[in-house]
Amino acid sequence: MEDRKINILILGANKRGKALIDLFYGSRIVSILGVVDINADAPGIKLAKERGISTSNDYKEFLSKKELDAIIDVTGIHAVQEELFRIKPIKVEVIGAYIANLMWELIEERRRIEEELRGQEDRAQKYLDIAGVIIVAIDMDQRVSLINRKGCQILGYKEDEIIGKNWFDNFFPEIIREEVKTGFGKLINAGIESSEYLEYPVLTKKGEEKIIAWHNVALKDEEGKIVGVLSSGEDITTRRRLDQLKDEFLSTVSHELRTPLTTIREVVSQVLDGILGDTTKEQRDFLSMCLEDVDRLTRIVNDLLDISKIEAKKFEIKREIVDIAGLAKGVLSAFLPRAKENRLGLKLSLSKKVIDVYADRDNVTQVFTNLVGNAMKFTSAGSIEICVVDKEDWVECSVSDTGRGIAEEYLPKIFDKFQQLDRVYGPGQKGTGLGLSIVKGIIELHKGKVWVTSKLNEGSKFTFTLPKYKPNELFKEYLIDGLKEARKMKRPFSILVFDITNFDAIQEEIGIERITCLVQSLEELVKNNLRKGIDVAIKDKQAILVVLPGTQKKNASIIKKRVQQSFRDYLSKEKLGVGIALLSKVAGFPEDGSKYENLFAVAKSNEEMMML
Amino acid sequence: MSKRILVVDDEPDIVEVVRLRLEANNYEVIAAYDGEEGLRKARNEQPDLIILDILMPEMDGYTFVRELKADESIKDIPIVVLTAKDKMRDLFAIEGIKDYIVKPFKGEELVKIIGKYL
Repeated sequence: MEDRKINILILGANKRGKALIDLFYGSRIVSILGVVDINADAPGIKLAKERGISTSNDYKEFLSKKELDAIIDVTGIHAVQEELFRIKPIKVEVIGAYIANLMWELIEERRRIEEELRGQEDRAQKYLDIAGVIIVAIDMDQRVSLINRKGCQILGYKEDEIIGKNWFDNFFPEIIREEVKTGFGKLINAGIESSEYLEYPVLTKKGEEKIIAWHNVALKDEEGKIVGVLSSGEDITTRRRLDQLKDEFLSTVSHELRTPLTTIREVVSQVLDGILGDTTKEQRDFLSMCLEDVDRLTRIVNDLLDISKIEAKKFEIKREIVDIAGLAKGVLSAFLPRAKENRLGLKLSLSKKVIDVYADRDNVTQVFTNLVGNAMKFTSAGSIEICVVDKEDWVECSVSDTGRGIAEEYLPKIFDKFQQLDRVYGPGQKGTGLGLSIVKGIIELHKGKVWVTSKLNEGSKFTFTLPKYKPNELFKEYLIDGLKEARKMKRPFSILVFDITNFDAIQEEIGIERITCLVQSLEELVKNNLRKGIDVAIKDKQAILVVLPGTQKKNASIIKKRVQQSFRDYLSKEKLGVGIALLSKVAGFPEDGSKYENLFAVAKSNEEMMML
Repeated sequence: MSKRILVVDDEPDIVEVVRLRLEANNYEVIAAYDGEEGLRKARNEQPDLIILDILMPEMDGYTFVRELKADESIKDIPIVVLTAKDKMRDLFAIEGIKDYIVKPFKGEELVKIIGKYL
C-alpha cells in the first residue's frame, strides 16, 4: 500500500452510511472525501457536516477530483449503481451494496463485541464493588494495582490515593509490617498457591486499626508466572468486639456468682468449726447439709461456666508437656479414700512409667476426675480401672467400671448436655449433668477423640485419646509464638539446646534404659535452672530444647553454664564409665535476628562441644 | 508475736470472713478495700504476707503487684492471690505471686496455704 491515505466517497447517508463515517473518520488509512445523499436530512449528512466532511446531493461533482480512489455505494439503488459504472473514471473502484453491506455487518459485529466486553468489565467492576469484603491486587513491588469500593471505604481513602502505593508501608500498622511482608514474600517466592486464613489489622486514613480476616492467592499470568497477590479481607472488628463482650460477660458472671458463694461457704463453715461459738449437734448437721449444697452449687456454677465457654469457643487451654501417667496416678490417689469407703477396687494400668503429652494439665485432670467420679457414682460393687496406653502417635486413656452400665438407646446421647440417665444417685457427689459434655469439649479442644462402650449390668468404658507431640515441631511452635510475642512487647527472647551427640554410641555401651535415664536426668537438671510456668524445656530423644521468654542472651548463656556445671557434677557422681559429648547451643532475640530461621541457624552455628 | 496479714479485696464481706478465719488461727489482720489503700497500708504496716484479690475496680491486682515490686520497701512481701477468676495458673508467671486460692475457698485450705509462706 502507498503511503498516502485512500480517499473514498460515501454514497448514501442513511444509517449504513453513517456507520461508515463512524468507522473511517479519523482513520490513518482512509480519508473521507465526501458524503452524498439526495436527502439533506439523512443522518450521515448531518454527521458529516458536524465533522467538517464535504457533503452533496450529487456525487458527480466528486468524480472529477483526482485524489478520489474509491466509491462506497450503500444506496442500494440499482439505477445509481448502473450509472456509476458507466461514468466513473477508470482508476476509481466502486464497492457495491453487497460488499458495503458486508462491511456494515462487520462494523456492527465489532461494535457488539466491544459493547459486550465493556459490559463484562462493568459487571466485574460492579461485582468487585458490591462485594462486602476488601478486594485488593498487589503487584510484585508490593504496590496496589486494584482495589474495590469496599476496600476504599474501610481504609477511608479514595481509590486514587491507594492505587500505586506500597500496600504494606501505607496501610498496615508499623508493628506488623515486617511480618505481613514476610508472608507476602513467601506467597510470591515459594509458589504457595494460597495462604491460610490470616488475621491482620489495617491502618485507616484516620489512624484507626481495623481487624481484617484475610485470604490470599498468588496471581499468575498465562504462562503460570506469579505476577502478584490477590487478597480478600473481611472486616471482623465488630465481631471481635462482640467476642470481647462475651468474654467480659462470662468473667463478670463468674465473679458475681462466686463472690456471694464464698461468703456463704465461709460463714457456714466457720460456724461449723466453732469459730463463732458453740453449736448443737442438730445445728451442725443442718449446717453440714448447707455446706454440701453450697459446694454442689459451686460445682454447677463452674460446670455451667465451662460449658458456656466451650460453646462460645472461649475455653482457653494452656498446653504444656505433661506426664499423663503421673497425672493419672495423682487422680487415682485422690479417689482412693472414697473407693475404700465404698469398698470398690481402684486399679491403674500404665503401658510406660512416663508418658508425655502436650496438653492442659488442669483440663486433663478435670477429664479424669469427671470420668472416675461418674464411674464411682454408678458402680456399687467391683472395681474401677484407669488405663493409659502409649500408642504410636497418640495416647489412649480409659476409665472402665463394673457398674450398672448404660442402655444402648442412651449411648448416642451420652455426651449431650443435661443427659442424666436417671436421677437416682449412687454414692458420691451429686452431678450437674454437664460432666461428660465438658469432657468431650476439652478432649476435642485437644484434637483428641472420646467414646464409650457399655453393656447394661456389666459396666461401662470411657476412652479418650490425646495426640502426642513431636519435640522438634513443638519447639518450633514455641519459638515462633515466643518471637512474635517478643517482637510485639519489645522484650528479649532466648533459646538453649543441649544435645548428647554420641547418643547412639552410648546406648550401645550402657543400654537403652540407662541412656534414657541419663537424658531424663539432664532434663531435670535443665528444669532446675528454669523459671516455673514461664520457661519451657522440651525433651527430644537425645536433646533438651529450651525456650526462655523475656530472657536476654547473655543471661541465657549463664543458665547454659549452670546446666553444664550441674551436669558435670551429676556425671562425676553417677560414674557411667562412658564419655559423653554434650553440645550446647544458645541464641537470642534481638541479637541474632527476629525470625525463627535466624535464631535456629545461630543456635546451630553457635555451638560449644564438651566431653564429659 | 503473731504474724500480720494484709487482706486486699473490694468486697467487705470477703474481707470480713477472711479476717475471722485468720484471727481464729492467731494471725493479725489488716484490711484494705482497694489497691491504693492496700499499697499504703503495706508501706506503713509492713505485713508478713498479703492476700490479694485480682478483679478490683480502680487498681486491679496485677497493677498492685507491679507497684509493689517497684517499691524497694515492700517488694519482698509474699503475695497469695485470692480470686474468683479462673485459669489462675498464669499467675505463677508473675514475679512475687507465691500461690493462689480460687473463690469459693475452703477455710482450712486458706490457712494451710498461707502457712507455707510464713
